[in-house]
Amino acid sequence: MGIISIEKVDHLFWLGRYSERVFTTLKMFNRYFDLMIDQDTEAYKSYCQKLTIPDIYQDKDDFIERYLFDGENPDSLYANLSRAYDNAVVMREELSSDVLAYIQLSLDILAASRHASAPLLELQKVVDYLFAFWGSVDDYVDNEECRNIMKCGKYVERLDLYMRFDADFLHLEKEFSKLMNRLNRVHIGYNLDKLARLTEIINKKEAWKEDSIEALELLGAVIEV
Amino acid sequence: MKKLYFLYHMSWQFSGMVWDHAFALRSTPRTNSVQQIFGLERHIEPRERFTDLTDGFGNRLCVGNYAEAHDHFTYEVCGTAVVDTSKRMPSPCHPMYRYPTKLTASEAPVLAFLEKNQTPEGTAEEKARMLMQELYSQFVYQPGKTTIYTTAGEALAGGCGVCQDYAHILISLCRSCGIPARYVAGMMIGEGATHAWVEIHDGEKWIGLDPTHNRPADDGYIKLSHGRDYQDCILDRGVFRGNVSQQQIIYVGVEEMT
Amino acid sequence: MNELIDHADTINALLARYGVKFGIYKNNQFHEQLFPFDAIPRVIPKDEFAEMEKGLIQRVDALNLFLKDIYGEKKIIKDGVIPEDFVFSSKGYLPECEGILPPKGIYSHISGIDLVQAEDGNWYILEDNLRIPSGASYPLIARELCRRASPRTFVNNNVVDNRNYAQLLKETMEHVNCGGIRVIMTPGRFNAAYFEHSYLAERSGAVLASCSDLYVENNCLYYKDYVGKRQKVGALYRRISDEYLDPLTFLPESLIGVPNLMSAYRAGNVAIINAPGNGIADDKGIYYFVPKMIKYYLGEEPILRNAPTYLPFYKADRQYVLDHLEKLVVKDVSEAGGYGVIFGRDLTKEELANLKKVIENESRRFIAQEVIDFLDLEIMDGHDQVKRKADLRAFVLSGKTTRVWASGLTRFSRNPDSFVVNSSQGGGFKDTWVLSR
Repeated sequence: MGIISIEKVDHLFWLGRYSERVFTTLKMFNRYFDLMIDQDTEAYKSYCQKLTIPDIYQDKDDFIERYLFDGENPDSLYANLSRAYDNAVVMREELSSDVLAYIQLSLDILAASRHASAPLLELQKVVDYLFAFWGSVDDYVDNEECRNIMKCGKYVERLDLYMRFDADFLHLEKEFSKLMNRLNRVHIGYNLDKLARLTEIINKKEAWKEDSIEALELLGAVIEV
Repeated sequence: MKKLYFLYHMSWQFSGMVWDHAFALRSTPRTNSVQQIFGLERHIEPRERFTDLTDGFGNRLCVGNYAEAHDHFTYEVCGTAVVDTSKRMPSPCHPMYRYPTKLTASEAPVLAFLEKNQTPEGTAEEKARMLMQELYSQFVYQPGKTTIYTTAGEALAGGCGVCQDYAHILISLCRSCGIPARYVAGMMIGEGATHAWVEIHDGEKWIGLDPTHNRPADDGYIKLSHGRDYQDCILDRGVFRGNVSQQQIIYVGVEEMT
Repeated sequence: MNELIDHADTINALLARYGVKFGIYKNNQFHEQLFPFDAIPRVIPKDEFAEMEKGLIQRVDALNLFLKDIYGEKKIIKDGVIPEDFVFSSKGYLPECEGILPPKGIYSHISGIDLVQAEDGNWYILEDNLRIPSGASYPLIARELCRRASPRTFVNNNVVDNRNYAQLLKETMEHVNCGGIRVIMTPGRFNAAYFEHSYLAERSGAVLASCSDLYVENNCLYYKDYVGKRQKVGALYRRISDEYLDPLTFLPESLIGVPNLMSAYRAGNVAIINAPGNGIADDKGIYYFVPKMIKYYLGEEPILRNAPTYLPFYKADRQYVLDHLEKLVVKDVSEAGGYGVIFGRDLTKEELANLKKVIENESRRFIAQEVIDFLDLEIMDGHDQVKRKADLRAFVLSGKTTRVWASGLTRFSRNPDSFVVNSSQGGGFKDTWVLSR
């Protein structure tokens, strides 16, 4: 379609953010899950800290259960994927039924894997569907503006998570340039001053960490949707 | 015949900015067989931007919208009306005026009133006038006791109300005994607010009756809108965005020109 | 067909994949439910459909003429064919629509006509839905998925392809388009039929908009985008009921709707699909008069019959209804969606007596019908085939010509004792095949 309403911009941006949040935190989660098997059963505590989500969990099993699957827990992966779904289901005609289906499938799989004995295997399918989702977005979403807005959301979220989990600076720089690339192609509102300051911090290369808290704040506030 | 100068002024003052403001106004009188309107002037603020239509009841409807932020809205219309009720032409009655609406339903108090005040055989006009007389003598004009949602039955049971309630009750009484009736919103000689009265159809033409004053609506009345009940005739409707409180000021002035 | 049944699970998995759901409120909470699909299709032979098609076109044409007449000259009333009470005291009649002639004079662009087939093979009209009949999207997507899951079924069966519905919808909208884009207006994702709104938008290439994306200026309807550009809307397929459509014309407290939409419509700058005010023609009380309408407007004998119906409003009918209440079904004309339907045979003596009283006092409020001996359809219940009540909603689209979609929504009751097939009351659906040979 030719034009996108304000409401749709909002849905596209947050669809990008939430689907990416599930995708990337799942990768991080795998690392911590592995640690918790036999090395550090309390690793989840630092995981929560990095994400600045409240540690409401009694132990690692409680964490695995409730962080992954509990829809009532607003920080759970299930809650986040539900939010991605909420933003996607209202965009069927822009995304197409085929693209929307991958969000539906990933949500259904996540719900169904709650009682699996080896949840990581099932969660791999969630990751697979999210991969398929982004792949199909490139192929099936005709409107370039739509794709760019979603990807703005995606890269904001990815940068946020990379910063939180101390990703290699080279990755950070790469994702930042991807974000800038998309941002330059859409007409959504963003705060120039905040973007300039964020750029300044990233340009400090490895030393960006000195301003990591500010960087996270700026990142969350740059795009105004 | 009377020659009347009229002024209708309505303004909304908002406590802050509002936007996406759409309005629909029925406060422009139109020429019909009884009233001829001359020299009509209209002003709308913040901007003179509106279009005119005729609504489903035959009223003149002025609509428009302001997307941009503003903190007040003013609508003013003035002109001259030559009113002569003796010139009233026959006109058919739309069947919708025979049936009750929510506000004019034949509720128990209405039926009881009819039971108690049986009208002798006569023309529709005679019957309606008699009902008006009875209503006038049994109902008290008192503002603040009823709202725009009060039905004819509720108002009648309460025993007091304003012109709108008088009109609703008379309409309900008339329709309940087979006389088509409609609600009229308009202005009358004097200063202050708008007024409401009733028109009944006598089989040939519409006849104006003012139950609040217990008299026919004569040459001192200017009609703005008519419909089945108050709801159809609302003079000023508007919706907007913005979290504000609002104050509506209405001034009506009608004077006879000599 | 057995092959299709074997693939039922696959088909249901595909329906879940594509989110083929309807929304429902339970304890004030919104839930999305899969619409249970039964793989055994309803099959309508070619000749039978041809006859039904003629009857439906005739009926919908007459209903459109009726609407034009009621909001215009009112000849059918003046000629005494329909008592005016049934029109002007009905909630469905909207005086706000008086004097509006919609683009090309079409009121009901998309009509959903509910039929049942009786044991004797005859089809009966149960009700007309001329406001916002929903359901076409379900058999539309189900067919697509059945063909994927069981292609061989369609090699052998000569089924007319029903996947042209979106194209029919598009043409219907374009026919009345007053210049501008096509928009489907939805009250939002918490509407029971949201899947349908979004799917039809996708398939027909219309913009799916919520009310806040639209505004009226200078008596034109516009869709606005996020950078402030706008596009004129020429055809609006609204999935919001009349009373919420325009807060400056109808319910002032409506938080949805587009202010002054009715003015843009009255000015002839936008087509509203279906026209506001259509409720008068699908009123349960007016249903009784549809065969008379067909004779009056078209000078033809009705091809499809009504279920035998009585109007307690008429004295003779009232007496019959009171005398035979225990074998009749009584419907409250102001209710919809399967509510307000009472089967006399389910009532106790006391309840019957009470209902009689109500009917005597409020005779205008009800219609009564003979209970039709439904021809039950086979459905799968686990691994067993069982018979259940089912109806058919046929979709008739009025554009340049009046066309019947060669399919329809077959709904069935999963409860063996129930006659009520509405999805809101737990029913399921089937594909409807029209055979090409």
